[in-house]
Amino acid sequence: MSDVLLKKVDRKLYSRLKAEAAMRGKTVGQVFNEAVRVWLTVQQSRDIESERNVEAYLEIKEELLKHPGEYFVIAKGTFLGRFPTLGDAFKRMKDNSTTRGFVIRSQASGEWLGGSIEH
Amino acid sequence: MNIRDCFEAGDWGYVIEASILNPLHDLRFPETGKLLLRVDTGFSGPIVVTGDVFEFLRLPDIEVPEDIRPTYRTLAGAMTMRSAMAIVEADSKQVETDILTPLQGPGKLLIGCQVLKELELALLEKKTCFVSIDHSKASASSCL
Repeated sequence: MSDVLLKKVDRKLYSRLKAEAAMRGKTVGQVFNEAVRVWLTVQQSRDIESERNVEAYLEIKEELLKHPGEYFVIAKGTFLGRFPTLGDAFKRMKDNSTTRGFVIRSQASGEWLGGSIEH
Repeated sequence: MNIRDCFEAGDWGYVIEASILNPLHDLRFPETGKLLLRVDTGFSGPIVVTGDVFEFLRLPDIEVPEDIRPTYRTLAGAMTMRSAMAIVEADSKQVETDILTPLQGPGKLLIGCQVLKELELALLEKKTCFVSIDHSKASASSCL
């Protein structure tokens, strides 16, 4: 174990951490180590999930053009379906307990002529 | 034509008031009040926001894959956008739309033709007004 000086730590957050740690009979260092392990695990699983989402998207990509105006949802590495409204698409994600993924509706590129781009 | 709410923003050009909602995360920008979006009839796309607003609404969590990011032809060359679906609320209407922010650069707050077509607006001198139109008599359109 080593001592580390952390800069720009939120004082209120640190006070809460210190109080919670004390209530559980732990040092701030012990709780910090636990929190960092959890954070790293979450990031790793998110990266894996993102890669699986891309794979699922590539599998159904050609379907997008066949159903213009519909919302395709991919989350947790799975194609969850296509829906007529954005509300339906978000509902499917909520039912699946997820707040991350691809929500895709086929859209065209276009033009931006003058106007605000110059200001 | 029945004129309702009007907005004016001096040198900033024509603007309307609106809010942007991400129902998946139960987020709204701004949290209270309304946002001023510049009316840009030269922009064929939906809505552009700054990177900060895009992040605030947690739109990166649901943005489209990199290979289908929309690109807009501009006088300065092609501009690639990050894009995510959300809802814009204006004139008591909710419109499902793509929210864009430039892949590079800070972005702007503006509303393009794709969403303007869903609203009934009139540009009167320096004001932008929400109006009610008798569609049997109206024919004007200034969007791309």
